[in-house]
Amino acid sequence: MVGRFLTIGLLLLALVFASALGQQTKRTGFKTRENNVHAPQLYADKLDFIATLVDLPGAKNKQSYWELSYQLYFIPEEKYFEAVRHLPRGGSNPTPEQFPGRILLAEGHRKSTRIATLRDRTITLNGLPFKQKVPDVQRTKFAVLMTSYTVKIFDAQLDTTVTRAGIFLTEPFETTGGDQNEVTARTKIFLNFGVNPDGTLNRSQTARTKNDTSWK
Amino acid sequence: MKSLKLRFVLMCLATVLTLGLSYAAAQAQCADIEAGGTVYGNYDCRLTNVCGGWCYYSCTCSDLRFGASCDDVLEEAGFELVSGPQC
Repeated sequence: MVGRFLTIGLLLLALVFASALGQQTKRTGFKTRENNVHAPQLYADKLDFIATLVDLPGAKNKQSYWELSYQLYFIPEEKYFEAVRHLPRGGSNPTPEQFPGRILLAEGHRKSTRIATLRDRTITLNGLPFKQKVPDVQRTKFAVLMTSYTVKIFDAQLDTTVTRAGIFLTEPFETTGGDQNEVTARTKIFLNFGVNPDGTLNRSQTARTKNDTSWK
Repeated sequence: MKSLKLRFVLMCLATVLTLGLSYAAAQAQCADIEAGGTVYGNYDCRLTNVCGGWCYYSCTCSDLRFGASCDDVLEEAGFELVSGPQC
């Protein structure tokens, strides 16, 4: 009888912890979307793309390397939300192919074996044509910029290989001063990665300054 | 008594295994898009940052029901508001 209670108790405990670990989504802000608002003034003529491996424990080890494939796309607002309607409710990890009508803005691949400094670990593409590639009728406020990536990082100090593929999505504009009504054309797209001492991967599309090695 | 001890040890192992698997799953679970609808309106949240075991999203809301706010939608959908990633 005691054994049965212990069994049930431990199982319940495991379930409680498991559900607590599953609750890990947070939001840093929100905007209310108005459908198909024509806003060509929120489209920059050119975009800069900055991909950074911010930090990894084995940065100075000569056997460490990082390899990145990336594509930057524009997705018309109507096409994006039509595709999202076909995704499963809740969380999903779609691929670029699930967004018909996307326009390729840039793509590339690089394997870097010299990654000792932050400069070595930064890929910068300046002046990518943007506005001219988007038909005027599709220059709406809530269209989408999508960064698709596949990253592979070998940290020789940890003797660990981290791989990940995914997408980041953002709007063609950015807010200034924390007010969702104060917006300007976005001119930079960021893609950041970092390897933690336990071998897990940080990833973000948060804006960062040139010499900053803190995680953002 | 011996059987009870054995069962206890086995259950402890099972608990540790469950916790470990749950943690690993949680780490890998940041979906690139979280989208759906609530009684207050629709939401579309895009992953912006993964760190410290947390998934941070930036969200837009649409088709808000009369009197509802985007906050209502996102709270209903289970998104906790934070000022920024704390990693």
